[in-house]
Amino acid sequence: MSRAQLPLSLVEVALGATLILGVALGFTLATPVPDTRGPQLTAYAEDTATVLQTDPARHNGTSRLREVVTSQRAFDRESGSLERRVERILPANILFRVRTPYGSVGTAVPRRTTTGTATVSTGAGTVRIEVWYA
Amino acid sequence: MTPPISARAQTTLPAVAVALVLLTLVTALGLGLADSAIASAERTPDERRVASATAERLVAADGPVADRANVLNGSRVDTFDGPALRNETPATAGYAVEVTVGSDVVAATGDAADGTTIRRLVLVARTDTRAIEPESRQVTLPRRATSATVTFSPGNGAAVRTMRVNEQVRLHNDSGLRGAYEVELTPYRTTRIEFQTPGRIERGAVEISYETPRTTKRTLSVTVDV
Repeated sequence: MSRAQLPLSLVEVALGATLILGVALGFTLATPVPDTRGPQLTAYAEDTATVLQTDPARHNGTSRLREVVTSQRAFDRESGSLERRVERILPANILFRVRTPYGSVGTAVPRRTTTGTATVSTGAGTVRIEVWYA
Repeated sequence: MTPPISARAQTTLPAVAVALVLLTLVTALGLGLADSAIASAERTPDERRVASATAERLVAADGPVADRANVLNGSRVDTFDGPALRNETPATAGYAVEVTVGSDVVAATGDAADGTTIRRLVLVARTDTRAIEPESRQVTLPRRATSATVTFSPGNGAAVRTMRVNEQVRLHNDSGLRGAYEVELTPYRTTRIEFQTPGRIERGAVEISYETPRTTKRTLSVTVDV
């Protein structure tokens, strides 16, 4: 009996330390990390939309974005140059997909990836630009 | 068989003291850890907010260096600096901010090397001025040209009486055109300029200088550090 008395409080301090360190670890690990990728990707998508909106059309039309949603023929003709243009606007580590009523250009959107989107309404239809980190 | 109670209590007393000291130390350590974790989580939203607000202001159509939304004026970017940034974006007060376009630091208000960065995609527009001295009666200017200055200095050669732009008479003088004239052009189609003169147009008698906008794609980064 007299042997067991001394370690008991040391056992208690070990338990107490574990408890307190556990709570501290919880603070360190469970503090929410701010979503830094989403806003940046949204900014990229919005910027791409703005640049495309102010680009002059290649043939007739008010802007390049308006031109591609005019008709199926216009989209088929312009989709290649639209893809090259968006590729040039965006940084190299960004992939994109541009959806129009007549079809899409760019890479297929992967699942479970943070993406940024920008939607532009034109008189002829809506263009949706989606970007994500490669 | 039961040991005396007083004997039991004496042996644990130093252990309890040691345990208390240890527990206090661990508590302090844990509090410090938690505090720094929360502090670091609270620090970045402020930087991020200031960085995105500053970037938004710079690319906005009515921003200090922008021509249109996301199109920056090259010459205004060149003259932009730290004090101007402070004036234009009050939100940056109290933060070290660094603005770079491409790889050039445009404006800095302190060292923000390990801060939070927001990137925006912009076009930087600069104006190129080109001059040509036509030797024939017809000149075609490229579609992008926005405005042209035509200078007539006939000297001893034949005078130019009429200048037509896209088949419309813009300038006419029976005794010959002389001096510099500003001509506005449409940027939507190529411009054909024709000169009407009884003789030949000699080299140097007419000089046309025109401006063409040139835009280059750049990344605007705003880095903010507390």
